[in-house]
Amino acid sequence: MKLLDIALKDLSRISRSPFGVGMALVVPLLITGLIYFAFGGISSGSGSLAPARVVVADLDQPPADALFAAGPLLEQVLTGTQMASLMQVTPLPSEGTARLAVENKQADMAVIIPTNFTQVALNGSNKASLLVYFDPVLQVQPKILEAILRDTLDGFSGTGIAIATLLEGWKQLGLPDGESQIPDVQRQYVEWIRRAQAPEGSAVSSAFVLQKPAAAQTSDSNPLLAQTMAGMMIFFVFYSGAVVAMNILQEDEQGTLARLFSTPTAKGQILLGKLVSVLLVMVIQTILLLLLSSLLFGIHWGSPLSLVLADLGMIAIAGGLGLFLMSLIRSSRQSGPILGGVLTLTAMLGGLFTASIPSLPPAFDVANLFTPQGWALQAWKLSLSGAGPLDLLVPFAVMLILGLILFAVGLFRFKRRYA
Amino acid sequence: MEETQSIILDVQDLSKQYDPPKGILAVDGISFQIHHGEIFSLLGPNGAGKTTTISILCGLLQPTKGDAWIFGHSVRREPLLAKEQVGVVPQDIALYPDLSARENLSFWGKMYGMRGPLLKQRVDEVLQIVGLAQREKGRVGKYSGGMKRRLNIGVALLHKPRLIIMDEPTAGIDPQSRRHILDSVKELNREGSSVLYTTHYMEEAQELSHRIAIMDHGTIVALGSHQELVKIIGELDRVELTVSQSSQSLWEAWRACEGVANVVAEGTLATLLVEDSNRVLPRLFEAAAATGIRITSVQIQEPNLESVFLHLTGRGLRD
Repeated sequence: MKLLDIALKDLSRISRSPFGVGMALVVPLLITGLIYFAFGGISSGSGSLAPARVVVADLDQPPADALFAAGPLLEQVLTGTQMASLMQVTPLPSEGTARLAVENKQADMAVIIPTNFTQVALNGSNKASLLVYFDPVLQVQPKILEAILRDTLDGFSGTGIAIATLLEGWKQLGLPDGESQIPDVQRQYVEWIRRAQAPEGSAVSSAFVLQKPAAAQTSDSNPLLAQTMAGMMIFFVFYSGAVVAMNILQEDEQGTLARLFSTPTAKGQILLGKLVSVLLVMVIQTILLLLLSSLLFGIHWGSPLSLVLADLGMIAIAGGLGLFLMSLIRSSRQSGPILGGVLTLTAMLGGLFTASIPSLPPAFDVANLFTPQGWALQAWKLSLSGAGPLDLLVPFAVMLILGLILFAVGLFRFKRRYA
Repeated sequence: MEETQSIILDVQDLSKQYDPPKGILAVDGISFQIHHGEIFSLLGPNGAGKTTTISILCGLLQPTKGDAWIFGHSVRREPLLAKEQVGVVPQDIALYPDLSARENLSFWGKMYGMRGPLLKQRVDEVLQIVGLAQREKGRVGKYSGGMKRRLNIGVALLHKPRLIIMDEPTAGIDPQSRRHILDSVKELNREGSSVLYTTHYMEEAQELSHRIAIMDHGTIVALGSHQELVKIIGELDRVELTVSQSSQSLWEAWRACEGVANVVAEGTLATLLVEDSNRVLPRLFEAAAATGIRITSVQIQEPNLESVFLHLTGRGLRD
């Protein structure tokens, strides 16, 4: 009973500390919120970026006998319904006005189609430089636009290759007047491009379909945001574990720990009561963070049982590490290097700050597992990906055992100090 | 037999050495008893071993040798039972600054096993006793130093302990709060509590205590009532002399004078124990004149605990 009284007293004190509440709840939500706003609704249901503002200056001057104009065709590709979620395209009459629009921040990117664009597209004899002029602040959208343009230009190149192959084959078969077929090939190719820009359900459709894992389909959130939030949560839960364990040192310095020891309460009970407060703080913190991040960012953290395993494992190892680290120092004034240094370093090595970077070397994932935070991150990644409780058993067991070992060592050291 | 029954604290051959075998011997084989209804003071300068003794009695330190029994419970073998009988007022304020006075008292009451209506009743009573009933909801961190001191004492009274241990409760506080605390101790004693009080203020020990143990370097150098202790120095007078300049040769000259028992000098102030001040003072003036130093003031005092300490240790209480 006294054990709970001590734990509840500590909880009451922590809840009144602006620093404690700030670090436990406000800061992790704030950081994730900043990421959320920085990426302009990255977690919305479609998973799309905000449409970029694109201006197009089509300077293309097709030859008089050309069957089609490549410039307008490219413009048509960019303004197609499939591109509407990616960009809003506005035509402008000249290169100068297009560049000015970007410089004045009225547009994010400008596409300048050169005068010889159709001519090059038709015979491939020269080079045409398609110029994309963009705001250097942008990182993602220019790459998307470049990919679309490259794709389309590849199509035009494909026409040239098709024609060359046709002429070659014609010649080998000994058929006369192969060049008379070129306009027909060009016409068919233009028709194909036009149909490709048609809405879904037309004759032309994608040859592949993007699909999320079944479990992840229930989530409305962007996985990158979810993993960022997981990284933030783990970092601050470990931080909270250490800060709350530091409470033992602060009570020692305030004289209240000695006073507690002078009451008819066993020392073990007093220390355990304080440890229970550490665990309760982390349980409350994670429940609130999970709920709030679900509500604010639409993150689906996984099945309830997987979530419980990931959470309990993380709390066990964070509490154990916090207590162990605090048992190594003599006063709360020495806690700065522990909180700022050791926890931050292990968080970095554990991959908490790079959780949302998709293409890190595999060795990095292995290196993560040399830190407690890395195991916690792995558990949460599994839960977020829709893995079942069985898949989480290994990281859970590792975290629990490691947490209990650190817990026991920390408790032993504290008990010996106050013996 | 009657005396044995009235003993509530029995300390026998208690010693504490930090980091044995080479560490400091803070308490060196002390023995004393406190009887029911008694205010017993441990008087001595800083470092005399008072707080170490108190820490052993409160269960914060394990003695290296000896034992103490509180209401018959050994602090070594039955520490929890011993602690149940004691209310401790630590030297420094040991309260939670971010909790209110009522929350602090409720929490500490629970640590003494109190619950429910009894706890609430005692918290109400203690708030009245320490005069904080009107400010019970304010956070302790916002209280004045005197209010904190009162609450610090209040915590020790919650479970109506039969023995209250106070470790220098007036250290570093203003005279008004000090007066309040001394009056509280007397009031608690009138209500039946026994008190173990440590201090390095001779006046406090003299005013409060039924018996006083004078400690120095971890040992008890004298023990008894104020009157008994003063008798140790017999008919010696305590003379304080202020001189125009500090001089080692003058102190030596005075020590050599007939009738001078002890000389302790600090700066230009010298405290002497002399057999008959009327007879000795002219010799002191002569010795001063011989060294060319002027005596600027003379005070002759009745023998007190300071004189006793000076007599027994050759040092002042504040050395």
